[in-house]
Amino acid sequence: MLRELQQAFSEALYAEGPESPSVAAAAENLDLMPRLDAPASLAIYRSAVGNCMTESLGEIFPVCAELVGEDCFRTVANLYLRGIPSRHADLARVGDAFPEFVASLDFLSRLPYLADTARLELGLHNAYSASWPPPPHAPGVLGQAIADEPERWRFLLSPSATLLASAHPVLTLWEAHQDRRIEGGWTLDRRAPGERILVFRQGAEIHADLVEPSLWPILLSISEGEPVVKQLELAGALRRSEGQSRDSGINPEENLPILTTIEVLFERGWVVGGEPI
Amino acid sequence: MTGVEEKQVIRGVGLGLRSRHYDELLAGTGQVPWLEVLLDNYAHGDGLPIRQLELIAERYPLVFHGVGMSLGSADPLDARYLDAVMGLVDRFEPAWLSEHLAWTSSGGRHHHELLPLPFNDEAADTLVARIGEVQDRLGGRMLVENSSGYAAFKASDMSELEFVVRVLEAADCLLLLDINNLYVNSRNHDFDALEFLRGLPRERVAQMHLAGHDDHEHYLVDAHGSPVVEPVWNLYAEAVRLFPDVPVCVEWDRDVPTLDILLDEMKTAGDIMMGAQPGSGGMTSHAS
Repeated sequence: MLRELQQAFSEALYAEGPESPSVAAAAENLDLMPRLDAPASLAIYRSAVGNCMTESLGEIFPVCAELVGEDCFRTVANLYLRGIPSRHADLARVGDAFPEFVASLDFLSRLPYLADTARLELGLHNAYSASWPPPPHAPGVLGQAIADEPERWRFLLSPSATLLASAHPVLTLWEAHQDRRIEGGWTLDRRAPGERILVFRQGAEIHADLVEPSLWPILLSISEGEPVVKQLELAGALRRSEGQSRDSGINPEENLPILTTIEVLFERGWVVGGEPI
Repeated sequence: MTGVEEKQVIRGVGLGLRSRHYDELLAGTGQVPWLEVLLDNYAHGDGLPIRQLELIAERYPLVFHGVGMSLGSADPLDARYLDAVMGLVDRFEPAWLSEHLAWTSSGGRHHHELLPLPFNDEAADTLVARIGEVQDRLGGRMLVENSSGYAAFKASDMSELEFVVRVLEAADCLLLLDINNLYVNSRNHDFDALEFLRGLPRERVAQMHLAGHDDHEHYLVDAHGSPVVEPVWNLYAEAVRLFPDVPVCVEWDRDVPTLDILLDEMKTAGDIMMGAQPGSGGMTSHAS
């Protein structure tokens, strides 16, 4: 009985409108209150659930909300609320499927960069609460281990990292909203090239960095957990002589460009360590 | 009380921790004696929110307050959420953990809103079973809060007071008495809030809440976005007479104001706790 009652009440929360059959069905279970009839009672809860979703999504996706405007964002949030059931008790996870949902809405196709903007904002949101990186190895230990066995080690991106390759300049767009250039008449140049972005947290600071095209495949390879040797190959500097064993070590002098590339990844905070596979 | 509860002394008027006030609280502004942590804000990941809470915990005694446990749902408890909550409890050792007499999920779908229960045996038994599960994990008693409600069910066959008392006794748990929720419900459902207070088992009232509500003329909504109103202060004064020395927390969740406004609310609550009489002309002592 309780299960059925809660099921009916739940369906009424997501009904298209107050005249919906599910609202009428849930109202059947309710008594009149002194100054509220059953549909009015349900309307309070329907409104509360909708407001909670709109506010929560608005906190995670503030630039998306600005791009579409308050009324449209509320409409999108209500469609999301009805279309994508929340499966987590944790309200911080409520936006997990929002970028893909935005991408699926035909009426938002006039803003082709919106879904990637949402992906960027979700990355920033998740970076806030992501775990801390593992403690660093002692100086030299990681480098030596990797040099000795590049097939058996992999680099680690920060646990807070999100990689985003967009066909649109969404980081530029996002930054224009942060420093309020949009209020001075700034508009997005839709012909501008797309951007490759790494979102990550370094200490208490959350960063969204543009990634050079040459480094992007290396970061993707690291994010997929591939061994260091793969990234060395991608760096174009693993110059093994023909017939040399793959198990041979790296000669630091021969591979200076590789090591420089790897150092850059560490210095920027993009790579935070390594681990044996 | 559990062994955990004995580690921290929670007395007087505390404050619901909100991120806006981190810096001031870490600087010791206002000499707040303890903080109530909305644990749902910390139940994901191990990142900055946790680091900030660690800093807060070094300075303040904490109690934990949850929203997402869905104790009144016909669904089983969400194991992932419960594990996260228990992880936080183990890590921070709050004086106690509280949740609502409500449900927030059904059929595996989370609504992220406190939803009403019918006041009947089945709902009470469901709550008692779920509270028992949580208390088994805690190794001690938890607190449950009387929720505000805007619906009345035909399936109810007892009053809210009878329902709350039955759950408290059967689950052997403690009550977080939300004075504002009680006032809102007494107006919306037309019952005597004082009678409700007098019917509660004194030994089970472990904490109180104070907050503001929205007045929609025909009904009130527990919105936590405005100051405590005078009728709620009056009701709180009655609660203090009935349940002396029970700590109280000032909550404010929407449009969270500057800390000084909350400190003013806390001072009013503290004056009443010390025997002052609430009133439009300021506080006067009962003794005078």
